[in-house]
Amino acid sequence: MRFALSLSAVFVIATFAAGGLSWLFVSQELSRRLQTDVQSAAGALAGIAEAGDRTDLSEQITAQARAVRDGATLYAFVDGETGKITGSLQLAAPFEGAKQLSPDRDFPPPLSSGRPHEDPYLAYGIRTPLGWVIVAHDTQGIVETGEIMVRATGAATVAALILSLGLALVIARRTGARIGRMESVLDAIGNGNLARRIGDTGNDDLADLARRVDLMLDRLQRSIAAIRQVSTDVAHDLRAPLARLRMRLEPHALSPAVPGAIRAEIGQALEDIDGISATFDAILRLSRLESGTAEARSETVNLTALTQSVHDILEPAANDMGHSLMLDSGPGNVTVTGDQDLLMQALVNLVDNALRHCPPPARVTLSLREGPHGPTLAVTDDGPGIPAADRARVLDRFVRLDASRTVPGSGLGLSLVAAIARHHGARMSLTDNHPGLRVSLSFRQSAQDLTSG
Amino acid sequence: MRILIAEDDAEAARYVMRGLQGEGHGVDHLAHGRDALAQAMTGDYDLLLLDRMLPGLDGLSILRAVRAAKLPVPVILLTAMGSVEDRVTGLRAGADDYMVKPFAFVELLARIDTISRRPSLRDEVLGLTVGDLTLDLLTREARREGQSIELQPREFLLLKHFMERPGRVQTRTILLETVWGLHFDPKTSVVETHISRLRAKIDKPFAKPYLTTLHGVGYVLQP
Repeated sequence: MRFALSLSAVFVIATFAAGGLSWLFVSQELSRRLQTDVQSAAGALAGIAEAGDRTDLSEQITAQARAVRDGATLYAFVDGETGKITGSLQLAAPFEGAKQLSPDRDFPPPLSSGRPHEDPYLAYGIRTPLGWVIVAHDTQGIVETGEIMVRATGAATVAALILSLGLALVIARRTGARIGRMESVLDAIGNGNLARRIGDTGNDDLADLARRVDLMLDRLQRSIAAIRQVSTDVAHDLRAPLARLRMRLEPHALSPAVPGAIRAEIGQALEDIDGISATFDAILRLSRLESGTAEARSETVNLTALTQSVHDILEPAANDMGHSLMLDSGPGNVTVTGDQDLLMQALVNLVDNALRHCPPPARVTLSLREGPHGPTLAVTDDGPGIPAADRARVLDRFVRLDASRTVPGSGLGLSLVAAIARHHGARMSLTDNHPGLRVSLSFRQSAQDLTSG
Repeated sequence: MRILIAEDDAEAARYVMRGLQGEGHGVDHLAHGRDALAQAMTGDYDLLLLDRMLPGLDGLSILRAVRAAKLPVPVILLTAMGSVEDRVTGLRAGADDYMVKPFAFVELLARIDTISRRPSLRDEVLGLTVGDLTLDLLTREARREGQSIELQPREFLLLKHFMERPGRVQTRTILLETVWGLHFDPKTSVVETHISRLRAKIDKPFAKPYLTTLHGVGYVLQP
């Protein structure tokens, strides 16, 4: 729309400029011609004066003055000896050459259709042996032509304005529709619908751009399919030998024939295998979430019930560790649209993080608040917290701060929470709880609009 | 039970077969998807164990064909694909259960138990007894050697689960699923905490411990 308006403005200015220029040229040309006319008329009368016939001159001037009754052309002969003026132009003072005369100031204006002439006159005077011969012609024609041209330019400008606005609107609407289509396709791609294409069949720069975007999307889709294939292959090729290894060891961990110490060792090996496979699962899950290839399950999740059950599940463990786990959620049921398992995983990870990283006894609170844009889930503790400089870093994969090296963990927990938050359009923030850490997930959605956003 | 295993990894299949035969089941193994489907369609089996990735025809397709033919046989999918979506796809296609490799063999046994036992769960059972330990399902009270033991709700569910399967090893995954309803491992000490609380109530005061930890495998309740 802004483009359409500026286009019209340019059209209008151009029309205006063209009108102004032609007005300038036309009025100059008309003035020049008028000048030539009065000069040649004066020249003709001067020719009579040169012949020395004063009577003939007077008669000619009187006759010509009489012939032009509307006062458009005025004639004067100023006698060189007596100063007497013959003709229709009652000049105050004779002159030579071209001069512009104003009615009233330079001479009493003649009447035209009952009204005195107001426009200036172009005059030309020639000095002859008998006196001055002066012819003046009014510029009313030029002024009128100018007015006609101004009106014509005005009409042309209005026409140009209407035409260009219409054209600009049509172009803008068509372009707007095409850009709108691009945006909706890009949004769909962003939401993981990789098969969508713009498919603009036009023949301009925009269509060119659209085709390039489509090409890029083809490549993107192929490479994501390749990543998916690779992760499936890796999953298969890594899990199969792990599975064999586990099955090979497991009977010995259970066999009464194997000495207890060795059974315990084998059991430890089995736990390590499970650990490897769990880390591997977490990486795959994270990759799928981050690459947008995870299928979004959209269901209505009751966050009130979810926080309640996470609290119930983890409270005994928290107590055994010497911590206390509080639940702080308001009345009523707060819901979001999303994936229940993922949200539960995120909450469990956050609470578990707080429990493991705080030296007991710590007070960990799981809270749920309904805000103006959507609910906020938060886990706060009164432990050592995370230095401000490290807060962004801990969300990266495998990052473990020196302070927590001794605590078991893979360094994937918070990355997974961050990915789950992004997946749900929630903002995750780590802030100082004075003392301790506050991790919050702020959802910006009402219950209905996850899939559209 | 007669069990059919469709699995292209020969060694893995051998371990599973040996384990199942050790439990007294009759087991057939096929490595090719089409062969497995043809064999499954005979209707001779009480359970199908289908690997998802198979040459010829994948496990999911076999499952769909079996369900389309309205064969009521229980199916457990075995897979290297562990994502939530894969699990959901498998269960939607009609699988009774879904196990991600590497899995504990005892877990496979436990799941087979659960599936084959389903119909009899309708029977009205009012109490369970294992050794000198009893559990009243109505009052939720446990007794051992005549002493009354008070249980928290989760402890009751946990003990009930064990007492319904005496001598059978239960993995963390199974306990998380049946007692807490969690389909993922929260990687916390939830299970350990409750096991140790339960143990403190039913074992600590008595001479012989029933509930034992098998490291790397799981837990078992045995008199």
